[in-house]
Amino acid sequence: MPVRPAADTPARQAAAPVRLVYPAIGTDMEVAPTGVLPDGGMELPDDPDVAGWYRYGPAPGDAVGSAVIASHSGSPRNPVGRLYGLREAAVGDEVTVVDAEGVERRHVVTSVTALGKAGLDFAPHFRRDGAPVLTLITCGGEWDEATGHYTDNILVTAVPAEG
Amino acid sequence: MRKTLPAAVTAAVGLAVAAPLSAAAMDHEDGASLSVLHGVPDLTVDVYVDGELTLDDFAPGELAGPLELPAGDYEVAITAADAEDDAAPVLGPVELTLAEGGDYTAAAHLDADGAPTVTAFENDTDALAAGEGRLTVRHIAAAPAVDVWAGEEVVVPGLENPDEASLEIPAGTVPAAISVAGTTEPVLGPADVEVAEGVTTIAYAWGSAADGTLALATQTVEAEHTAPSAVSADVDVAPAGPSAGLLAAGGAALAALAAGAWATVRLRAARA
Repeated sequence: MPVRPAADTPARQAAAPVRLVYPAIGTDMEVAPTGVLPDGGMELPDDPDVAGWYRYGPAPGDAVGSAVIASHSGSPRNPVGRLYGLREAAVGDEVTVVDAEGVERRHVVTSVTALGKAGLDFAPHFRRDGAPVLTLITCGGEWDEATGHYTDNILVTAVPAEG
Repeated sequence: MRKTLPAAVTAAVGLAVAAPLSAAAMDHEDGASLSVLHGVPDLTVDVYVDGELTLDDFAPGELAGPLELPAGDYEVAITAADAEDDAAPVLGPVELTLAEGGDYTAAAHLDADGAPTVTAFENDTDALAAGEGRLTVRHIAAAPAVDVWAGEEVVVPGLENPDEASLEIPAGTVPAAISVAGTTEPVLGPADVEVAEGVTTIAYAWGSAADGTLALATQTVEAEHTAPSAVSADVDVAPAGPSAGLLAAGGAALAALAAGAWATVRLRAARA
């Protein structure tokens, strides 16, 4: 069996993503690493023009798992953020992620879904094993006056482009 | 119950060696996972499992594994490195019981009085809250009871050889140190221990206080991580003005091309 000095450190990932470029929806935005809110939800930058990358999961470019990049669709100051247009996403769109070392990674959209937030289980979308995928998330669906939220999450998945 | 590893399992062991370390560590569905830590100073050894030579010239401070094994009882014997077989072990034989789905580290170490011994620890891979990691501290040094420090605070008081304690904490870097219980002068550290999210990080204090060979060993084991419970649950704001109803009616992105085109125009206008 493999033998090594007893000095394990956490496995290194591909460098953190810093920019998301999605020409078909007119988006070119900054990406910052984020974590978890006190209530257990994913932390997102307050500014909807900046997307959060879930730093505890894979980075785009890692060999396995879902790299998650998400943003608010809007805010009081900025009602239409740069991922608001995710609701226009289409299968076949090209999405490019640039990492902190300047490496550009092209992806191709393979699915676009709107899922009701109520009772939505995010575990499959934050998986850390299996085929590598880029998962983009924002809000959409019906605007619910009663709760002050959109009813749905828009989830777009994209796979690393060949070549 | 004595169990001899059949030839077929031995072949599987050979395959496990070729497998990536991280993949082997995560899959416990078919048995148990065993790592071996050598924490006895100044003694290079060979390790036999059920009479088969499994580790050759295993040096102090080294960690072997993980080895995926069927659940069951195993006999482990540790001999001098130049021994021809396991007839005259320096440690053991000891019997290890590995339960289905369990993750274990067998540590050869000095007891509190400085005599070599073997302790089998079970590693906790239970689910962690999103954003948290688990720090497990194990006292396997020839030393009296110790206090474990994280920064300026004692997080585990009075830990004795061969006991352990686990903390679930926000992922991050812990400046860890160890002092003799009730004192403040570190005998080990401070050293930065990185506690990764979704991972059990095990810090071992090993060696001999009297001989001045106290050292820190670390092992990481994938635990069960938890995904965030929601994304953008709050701070949603409908775009201002009469457009709100039109955009909200978009529903699934594939529908309402007119709304989509309108949203594109609005997006560009907002950034202009």
